[in-house]
Amino acid sequence: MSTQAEETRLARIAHLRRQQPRPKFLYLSLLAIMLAGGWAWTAGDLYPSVLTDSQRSANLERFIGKLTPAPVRASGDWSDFRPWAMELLIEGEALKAVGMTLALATAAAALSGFFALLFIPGAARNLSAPRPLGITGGRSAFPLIWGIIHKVIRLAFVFTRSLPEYILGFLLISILGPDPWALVLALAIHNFGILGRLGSEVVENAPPRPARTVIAHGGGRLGAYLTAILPESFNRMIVYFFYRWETCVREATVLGMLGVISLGFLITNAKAARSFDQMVFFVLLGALIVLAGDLLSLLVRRWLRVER
Amino acid sequence: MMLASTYRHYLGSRRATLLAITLAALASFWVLGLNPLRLFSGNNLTLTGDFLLSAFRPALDYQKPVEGAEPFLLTVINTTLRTLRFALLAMSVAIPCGALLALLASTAWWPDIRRHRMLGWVLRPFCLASRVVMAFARSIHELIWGLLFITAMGLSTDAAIIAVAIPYSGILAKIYSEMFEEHSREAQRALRAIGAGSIAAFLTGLLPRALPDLITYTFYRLECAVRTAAVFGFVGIETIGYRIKLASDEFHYREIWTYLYVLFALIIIIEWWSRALRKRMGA
Repeated sequence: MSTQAEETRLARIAHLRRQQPRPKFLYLSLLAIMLAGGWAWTAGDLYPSVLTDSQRSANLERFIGKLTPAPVRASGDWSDFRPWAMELLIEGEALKAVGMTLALATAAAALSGFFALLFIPGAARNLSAPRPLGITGGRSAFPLIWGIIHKVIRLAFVFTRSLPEYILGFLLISILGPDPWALVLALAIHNFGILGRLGSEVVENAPPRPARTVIAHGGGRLGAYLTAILPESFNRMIVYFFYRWETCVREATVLGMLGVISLGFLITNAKAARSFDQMVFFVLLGALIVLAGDLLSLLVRRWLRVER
Repeated sequence: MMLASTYRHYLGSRRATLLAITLAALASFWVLGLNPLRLFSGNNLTLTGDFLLSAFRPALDYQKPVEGAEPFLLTVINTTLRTLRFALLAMSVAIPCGALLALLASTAWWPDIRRHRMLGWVLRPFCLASRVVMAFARSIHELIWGLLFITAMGLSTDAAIIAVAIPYSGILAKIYSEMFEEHSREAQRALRAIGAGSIAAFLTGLLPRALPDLITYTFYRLECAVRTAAVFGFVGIETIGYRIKLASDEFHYREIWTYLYVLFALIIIIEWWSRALRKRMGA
């Protein structure tokens, strides 16, 4: 009896195993990724380095030797660190650069959020349709136009997202000159694409009933968006906004390298002057701001998630 | 109590949040001295117009061909492949490192530490340490890591890859560990209840559920890695950014647009692939 039970059990397992879905696409993707990885590792150097190993270790030694703050190196006493740091912060304009970095991120996030909000209803599949939210009775003179609007805005979102902030910043500075506008717009254009896409997904996933009611009572798409959908999904939108603000702060520390006062600017200057102690000080200051930004964003998001 | 409710009435959390954001934005505009009028001054408009008009005519050949140079389209293809390779190299280092850090930082695979107190004392420091490493790695931008490595050792392929892999591991680890914690633990608990070990229950009860999200996020990071690879052209590696910089120095806007469209195409392909995978994983 027991052997028979065992046999049926094994047969059942074999049957289940045969029934297991084996999607070809997943396996092919895995294979493709493996091949791509193998190619990446074996196709030779990306950058033919001209330095020999001994030059490299000499470089490293010089760098590490200059890492401790200059006055501490001279006196061997870490109590000299505080006046040195204070001087960098105030006279070295590090505090100003911190403020500029945060301002860049905030201005850019707000700008991109504002414009994303304007374009989101056009990109959301449920609103940008001849019959918004599946409500019958609405009649559109050109039913096809909604599909076109939706596709064009979506494509614009992907396109702006595909442009890296740093390259945008570089191009905008070559057009506008060294103006903070260039950096703000660079951050804003890239994040416009991301916030727009995330936002239109939020709108598509919002509960349709309140919006349907608005439309059934004679409201338009915009009315439904402003009075029913936005209030409903406000918290989710704000969560995304803060998530992007956080990445803007991180990105803004770097954009200064392009030549407008912010931490990146001070870092490249210190590097050019070979004051590696100052360079590392500014880098760590930047890390501190990014962490503070993360923390603030985390607190706000948690607060919004609890609040109803 | 009364006061709090009246205050609530006039300034609910929504209005307060919007007001705070608007005020912060206005303050930032003021600090930066952003004047919208300045955007339209000088020859900003004509230059912007020139640049945007070039979008309709991306270059298929050098705008000023030089005898004996590599054909333009060949350069474009080589540059694209190099960009893609850089991204793949960085990701192939960042994914395993990030996954390892994420496992160390998450409690989802832990055995019941109320019963194995000793084990809890062993695991906790690792958890804390990996969280600190994650936060630190993430908080310094990849370009700054790159700059540090270049100043310390000089530019090389390995230095550039590691510079990108460090922050990317941190970010991947953070998101992976959040995904481990956020997914529903029901299947995992059921498996535990019928006698599965904690690691087996994690691998079979939780990981398959989180997998579509993990893959989607990893693909998004690959997309970011492609953009970062492009940006590393400004450091000296001959990726898309390097070509854009060269073309921009000579005001060859149409060549710039060719490269921007290539970047766009790469991002669209990655996004399409990620979506197709997700759909077939039944998520």
